[in-house]
This record gives sequence, C-alpha cells and structure tokens, in this order.
Amino acid sequence: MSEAAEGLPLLNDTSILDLSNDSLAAILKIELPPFSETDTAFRQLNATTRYARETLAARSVLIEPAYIDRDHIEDHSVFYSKSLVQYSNRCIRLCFFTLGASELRSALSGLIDRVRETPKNYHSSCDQFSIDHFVGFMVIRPLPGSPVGRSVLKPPPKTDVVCLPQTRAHLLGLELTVAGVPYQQQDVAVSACATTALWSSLQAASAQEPIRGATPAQITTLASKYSLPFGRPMPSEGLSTGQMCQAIDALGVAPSLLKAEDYEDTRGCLHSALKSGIAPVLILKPVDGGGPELHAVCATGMLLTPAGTATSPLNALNDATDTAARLSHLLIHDDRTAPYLTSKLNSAGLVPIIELPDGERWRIYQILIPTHPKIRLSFLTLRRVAASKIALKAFEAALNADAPIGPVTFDCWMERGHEYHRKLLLRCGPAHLSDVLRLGREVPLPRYVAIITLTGAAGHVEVLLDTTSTEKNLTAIAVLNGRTHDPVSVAVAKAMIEYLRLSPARLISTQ
Amino acid sequence: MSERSVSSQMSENRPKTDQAERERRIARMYQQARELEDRLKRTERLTADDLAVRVNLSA
Repeated sequence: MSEAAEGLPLLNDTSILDLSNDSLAAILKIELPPFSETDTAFRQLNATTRYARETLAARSVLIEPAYIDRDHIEDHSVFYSKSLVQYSNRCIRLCFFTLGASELRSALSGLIDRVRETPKNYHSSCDQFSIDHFVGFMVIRPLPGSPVGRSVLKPPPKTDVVCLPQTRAHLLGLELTVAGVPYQQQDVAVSACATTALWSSLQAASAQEPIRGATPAQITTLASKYSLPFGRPMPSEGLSTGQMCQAIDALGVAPSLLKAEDYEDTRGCLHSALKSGIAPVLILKPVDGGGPELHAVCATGMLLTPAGTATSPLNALNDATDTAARLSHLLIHDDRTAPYLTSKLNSAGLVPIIELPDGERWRIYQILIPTHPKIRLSFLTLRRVAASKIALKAFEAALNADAPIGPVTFDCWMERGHEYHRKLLLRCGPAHLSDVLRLGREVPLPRYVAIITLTGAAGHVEVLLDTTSTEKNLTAIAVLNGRTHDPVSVAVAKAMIEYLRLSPARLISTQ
Repeated sequence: MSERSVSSQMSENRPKTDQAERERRIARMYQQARELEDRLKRTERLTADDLAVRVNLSA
C-alpha cells in the first residue's frame, strides 16, 4: 500500500472485508425489529448480498459508515423525522468489488497513486478500475425493519439488458461508475410496492433524458396530491394505477398505461419498451385467486433465446412472427425480495403470466410505461401499426415479388433520433454512405423515432415513423433497404414507399 | 387506389397452384390483420376501473 493511502481511514482493516456467508446484518449490527424473524426482516439485504457475491462474483465489501443518501434524506424529512424515536438521517454505503479485501486495498492505493501522478487520466483510470473490479453498491438505511435503500448493482452477465443508467459512486476522491437500474425495498411507510417500482422505473428513465430521478417521498406525495382513494398517503397504503399515472405526469413524464390482455401483445410491448431503454412497471394480479391485492414490480431487462432460433408464427397472424417471440425471461426488481430476479414469461391460454424464481406465478394485468411527453405513439399502437399494416403490406409485396412463401418477421421499438442516425452511420456500407448522409441532411428526425424492421420473407427493410405524430395523422419519415442486391427486399421497400405515400427520395439504401 | 392494389402485379410464370396458395395466404393475412387491429383498438381503451385498481402488496 502506498504511503499516502495508508493514512486513509477507509482503507483500514475494518472498513474493507472479505465477503463471506456471514450475514451483513450481523456484521453491521442491525438489530432485529420486534415481531420479526431474521429471514423475513433481512430478506432483501441477504438476497442482494447473495446476488452480488454469487452472480456478480463480488469478493469484498467496502463499508462507508456515514453516507448521505438523497432518497433517505427526503424520506426522513417527510416522515421519519417526525417519529418519537430519533432516526438518523445518515446511512451506510456498502461498495462491492470482485477483488479480495487485501487485493482491493492494494488496488485502491495503486489507483490513488496513478490519478495523482497523471491527473489528466483521472476519469479513464477510474472508469477502467470500475469496469475491472466494481460491481455496485447498496445503501443501508437506519431502519432495521427495512434496511435496503438505494442500491445499484450490475445486471447479471450474459443478459440482453437494455436499461443501463450509469450511476457514479464517489469514494475516497475517486469516481467509480456502475450501470444498472436502482433497487430498494419498500418500507411500507413512505413507499409500498407501487411507489418503489415506479421509483426504479423513473430512475432508469433518467438515463435517456436529463430528468432528475424522483425520490420515493416525492412520488408518494405527488401521487396523493389530488386523490386519496385509500385514505392517508403515509404510512403508505398503496396507490391506484391512476395515482401512479398522476405522479409520473407531475414529474414531466408521460404515463402510458396498457392493459395486458393478450400474451403475444404483452410480450411484444414489453420487448419493445425494454429495447427502447425503458424499464416498464408491471402491475401483477395473483394467479389462482391468491388474494385481492395487486403487486407492482419493475422490469429491468430481458433474456432472449439465441438469434436465429426458430420462432413460431403468431397466433394472431399466421404468416408473421415478431422478434419478441425470442423473449423468454424478464429481469424483475421485486421490492419484496431481490433485484434482477430472472422470471419466466409464459402464458396460460392467452393470459400473460410471469413466474418468479421462487415459483410464485402472477398474471401481468397492466403495464405502465413512463415515456417522454413528445412520444405520442403508445407501444400498443406501434405494435398494431407494425403488425396489421406494415407487416401485412410487406408480406403481400414479398409474395407478389416471387419470394418463397414464409413468415415475415417484424420488430418495433423507439430510439432517440440522433442515436439511430449514429448507429446507421456506423453500420452502413461504404457504397451507401452518401444515402445515409442525405438522410441526416435532408430529413429532420424527431426527438424519438419509431423503427419497424421487416425481415424473414420480406428481405431486410426498416420503416421509420415520427413518434410525435398520432395515428390519424401518422407521419412516416423514411424507408431503409438493407439488401439492395435482393429483389424481394427492393420490392418490399418500394411497396412501403408507395403505401406510406413517401417521396422516392425517402428510400435510403444502407447495404 | 384500393388497399390491395399497391403490389398487385403477379408473376405470369408462376405455377397456378402456387399462385392460388399465395393468394389464399394474402387473403388470410388481411382477415387476421383486421381482427388483430379490432382487438388491439379495444385493448387500448382504458376505463375508470382500469385506473382505480389498488396496488399495495406489502412484504
């Protein structure tokens, strides 16, 4: 250890520990609250620690004993500060690393030396250290009955996760980063499951737009501002979906609430939302009459079957399939149990079902998707347009162009306009660069563009729609042909241009 | 222009059975697309009951 780092109290023997099977509750001396048993009171704490240790291969934990957490400070301000017992406004932060304790001490010392020697490499050195060794952190609130506060951990490796907001953790003057959707447990005071799921979802939304993540206290307060259908807002007795929409709207975000009536449509909307970088809230109903209470969780990512896996045609359209058919599992933040629960997406007849790892089965009842206000198309409307209009025309055009009879595969999602153009610039062939540059020069893209891809029997065609338009006055932006040597692809792209009443100049070739 | 006339040019050389199968599949796709569209339009309509459900499961 370097001389400079040796003097830092955070690098002494007691603040960095090897992660073992010992309970962190015992190490941190968290007292069991009355009427509680260890396995229930510390369920989230133990599950989150186990996730860090077993899934993310964390081997040590660095303990910061006096940490100011914005979410807890606000919870404290509106609720806990008014209790008879004096709750502290300080938390403990636990940072998890893939190095053993002694290796971590040396590595942190080395990093401190490096950034002091070469200040201009401060950020790149910290970023590299984060990539190599840092898997995230967990905040421990001074609430023995609900200790797990804002916790940001990496998603499981080899996951098709698309919600990856970056969080910075400032530690010893270093700036570490971790990408993951924030998680915390409900305290059933400021927040129940509705508030907590919404909190995770809105935290993820802040990755795409410069909006400040709302705290649980803000969400519950805004949700209860104009309507109290279930009595007082705090201690929280839950929210209605209308109140959840109200809170989202008050934060300047648009609540898009979808009914999950059909398995294929639900799967498609979840796939589209997650692919668009949005973490939707799932409103869940017990299967088999497990009680009247509904639950809310946040979907943070998904697992897909490998690319190229054969997918069955849709029940609704026998000559079409969608990329969403590859969606096999969702990653769920469940505030009752743990983050990143790998949960199987399934159906019972036409009803969408989610199976949690502990065997619990829930019916997906509604999906609440916080979106940018400029996005006027809902994911359900986008799917309807993609399936019943665009894929239909593509199928007809492909068959009329002598394509072998086979299903059209469609996919749809939304993306920032400039981000889509950046990706297009990077992937287009050299012969078609001028076409792609022309798109950027002549065609103004909206803040968010809706993309519908057509593959399978339809060649490889992309249709771009303006998300600020509405269905009655839907505006198509361009059609991209990804296979200029394929006559079927050419025919489908031309049919799309004609069908969408676009100028031939809006046909862009990319490969 | 009718909906189906966008790409209605058929290949002259295509075998009749294949041609018939293509037309049958296109007709079926149109029928199913109409049904899907109607269903999704109904799904998109929210009611007051949809907004009133209580979400409050506690651990």
